[in-house]
Amino acid sequence: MRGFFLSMTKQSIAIMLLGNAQANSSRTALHYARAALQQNYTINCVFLYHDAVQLASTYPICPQDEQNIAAEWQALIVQHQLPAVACIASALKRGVINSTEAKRHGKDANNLHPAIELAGLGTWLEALTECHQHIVFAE
Amino acid sequence: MQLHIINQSPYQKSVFSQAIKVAAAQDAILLVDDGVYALTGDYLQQIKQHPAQWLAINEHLALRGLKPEPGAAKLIDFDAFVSLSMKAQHCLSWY
Amino acid sequence: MNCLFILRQSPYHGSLAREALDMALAFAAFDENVQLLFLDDGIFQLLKDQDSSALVIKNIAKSLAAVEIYDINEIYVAEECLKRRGLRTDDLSIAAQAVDTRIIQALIADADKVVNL
Repeated sequence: MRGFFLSMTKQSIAIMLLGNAQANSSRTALHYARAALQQNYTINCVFLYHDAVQLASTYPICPQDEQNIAAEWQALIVQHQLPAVACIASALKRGVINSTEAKRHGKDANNLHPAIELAGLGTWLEALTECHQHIVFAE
Repeated sequence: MQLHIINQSPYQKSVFSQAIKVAAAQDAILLVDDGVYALTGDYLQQIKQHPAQWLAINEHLALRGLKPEPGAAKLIDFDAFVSLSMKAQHCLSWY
Repeated sequence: MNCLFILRQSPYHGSLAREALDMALAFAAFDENVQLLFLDDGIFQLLKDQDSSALVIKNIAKSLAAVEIYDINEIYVAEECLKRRGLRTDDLSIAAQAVDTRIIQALIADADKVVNL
């Protein structure tokens, strides 16, 4: 039975990132994700944990001659409608918040990209359970 | 077959040494980002002696101006990285 | 699902050690079968008598105490890493089995998911 379900989900990959927007690993993860999508694999989750929650912020402004990895990740997520989650505990600690959380905590900020959800580790566990393969990019 | 992915320079971090201990002969070890610096010096000798399949991302080597001796590691692109990761039982990132 | 967590971070090098343990505990809370393997400086997470009272820093002992509560009882430490740090399993705050490379490779092969943090 499990084999049957695995074959149904064999095309999907769950990706976790831990590095911040400047980390090599976040760029490498982006290239990996693009290659996976081009090969018609499904990415069933992009989970931003630890410092990688920075990639969910719309605030970073990069010089023109530098890659804005956060913006590129966000564009990929939007283009392919990837289920993308920033771990809520990690995000709040690092000042990545949506308007709901901002109101709740009396903060004047709303920098969470609209295509990325704030959620807990249960979401990652669910993605892990369903995917064929998972991969972690960290620094 | 496990896929071990090393992204740190062995001169800087001990993950290279740890990863090669855990990697078995039937495993694949992929060097990415600063991990490609392992294709130099004494670490290159360790790589040659380790029975696992060694690979490296070619553009990460090129960026760092490295031209390792042929045969030390198979140079691959991201398409091959993806294919390899999907063939592995587990992907273990060492960072 | 059998989830093997490989924990390699020293306890107070940023928050990754705690966040990794949090993930393991979360999985256990969701009834997954969690195994912990401490490698490298991850072994230092298990040292007894870590006193954080002088610093306003979360003591990792708190997270480790939850390990038993969540029924995580398969805890392993890499024998070689333990010896290299001049430690024995007696020096550790929780009961852990010292394992060699062969067993580590088997743990990895037998796991449904491996999370290497």
